Amino acid sequence: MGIHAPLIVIDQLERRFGETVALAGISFHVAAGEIVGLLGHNGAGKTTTIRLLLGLLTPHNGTVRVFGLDPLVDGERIRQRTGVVSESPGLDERLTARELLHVFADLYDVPRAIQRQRIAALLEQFGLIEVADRRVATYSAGMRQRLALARCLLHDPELLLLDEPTAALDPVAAHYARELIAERRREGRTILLATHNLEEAERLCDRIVILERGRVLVEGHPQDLAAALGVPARLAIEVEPNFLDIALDVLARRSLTVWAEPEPGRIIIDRMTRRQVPEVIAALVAAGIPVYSVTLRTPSLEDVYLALHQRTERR
Amino acid sequence: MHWQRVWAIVRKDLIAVRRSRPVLVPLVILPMIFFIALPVAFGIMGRFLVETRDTEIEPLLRRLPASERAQLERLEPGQQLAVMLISYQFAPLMLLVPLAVATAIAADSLAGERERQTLEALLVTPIRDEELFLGKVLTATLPAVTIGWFGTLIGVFVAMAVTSVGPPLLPSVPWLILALLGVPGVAFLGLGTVVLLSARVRGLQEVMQLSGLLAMPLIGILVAQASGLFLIDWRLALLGSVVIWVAAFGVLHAGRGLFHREKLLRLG
Repeated sequence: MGIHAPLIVIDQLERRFGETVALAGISFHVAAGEIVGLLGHNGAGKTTTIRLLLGLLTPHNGTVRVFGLDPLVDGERIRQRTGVVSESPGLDERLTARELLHVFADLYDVPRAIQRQRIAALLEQFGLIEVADRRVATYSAGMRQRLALARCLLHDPELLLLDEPTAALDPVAAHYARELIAERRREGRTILLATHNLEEAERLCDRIVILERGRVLVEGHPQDLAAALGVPARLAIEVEPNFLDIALDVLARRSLTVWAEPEPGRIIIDRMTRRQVPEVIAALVAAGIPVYSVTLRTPSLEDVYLALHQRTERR
Repeated sequence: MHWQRVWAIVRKDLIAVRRSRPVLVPLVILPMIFFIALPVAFGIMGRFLVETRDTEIEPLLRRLPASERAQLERLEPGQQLAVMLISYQFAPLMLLVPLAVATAIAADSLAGERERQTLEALLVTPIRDEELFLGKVLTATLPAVTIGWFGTLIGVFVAMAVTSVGPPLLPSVPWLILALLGVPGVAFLGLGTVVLLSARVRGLQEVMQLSGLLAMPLIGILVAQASGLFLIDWRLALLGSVVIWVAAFGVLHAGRGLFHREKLLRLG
């Protein structure tokens, strides 16, 4: 499914809690069919943003529109079309998964006639059908998060707001949860994913919005962000170990930032551009150095994030 | 109003209460004490303590309206004592049961919901604030009033069986007024108080302990009657019920004012 008109529009949004500024005038949008990562440390404003989108909080300034609606006026209609998963799954442990899903199906106005079938399908899809009649108290953290994901899909929502959905999970459960999110994306749902897991954001998201202390630091695709911010790539070269010193000398003469890795014959060149790669390799080959492998490592979201963080710290 | 949503809240909370031993046990034991054990104890006491009339009963009888006193004087002294205790002296105590049931369930359903971090999952659904509030009101008051009325009915039959006395002395008019008007009144009062407490106090245990203070006026009435200050008659029962309803309306109204998503979320 292609990307369409904005489904979420946030403009100069502000929110304070007493003296604490949670959001200091953030603006961004999420197009229909897009998956956008909202990144930031704890307290950056991610959860506050999601709560404002749902009409759970009142903004102190700025505007929010979801499906073109104002959450303060049409919160009920927005919540009818939105599925939400919070960091804490918020499941009453005394109920069974099936009971819980039936309760929430009623809360989301799912017609009674289709509830049984839809709930069974979701339990099956999320691998919970075998334990559907066991109390949630007996579930592992991963099973709970899967149940929370199943619950947020009960009413077949167009928009998913996922707030740290994998934060409390072990690596295996987190991997499984990411697969489930990726599937929802393939179904064409719009997703706003609040996370501080950079790998997760990089893997799943079309665009990233990085928040810090209630402000949008930067917005865009991870690779575009790296380029825009001038976060450099690294070139890893593996040469014949006996030629390492010669190779380092050749590269140093070209004024490149070079160092040798602990592994024999492995060289790292920092701050490389793509265009520089052929001439660097040509220089090594011309000096008679056997080159076994060359890898241009483009900056990861983590590199971008660290660079941004260092900049804001310097300020 | 979407009743499907309201009943979903009631269903969820009542399933949870049914499976929560700390909440359920008092809800079973209290009615058994007040609606079965006490009438049986007073009935047995009346049968065996037949020599108490002059010293114990006479001052109490003098406080009764003439018509009720005349009827009571036709009974055996032991029956008189049992009826006086069940129908008059301890009648206000029956209100403790719906009060305890309503506050226990409401505390679990409101403060407990917050403590278990399950409140936000409800707030992100389309349910309106007033629907959530009504769901919580029904969750606490339906069992409280049902147990109160059903227990009262059982209590009447038990008392009639052990004393061999029937209407109009057992149940007496003040007893009936308290049962019909007082029982739902204290259920709403207990719930409303828990709503207000939940907005100010974070922990479930704290809410339970503070709401327990609501029982103090009922204990005070019992002590006042035992010390001969007054004896509850239909006028006092009616007045007491009206006071309870006014107080209940007041706390519920104030509680509804606090029942908005943003306020609930801030507490959560």
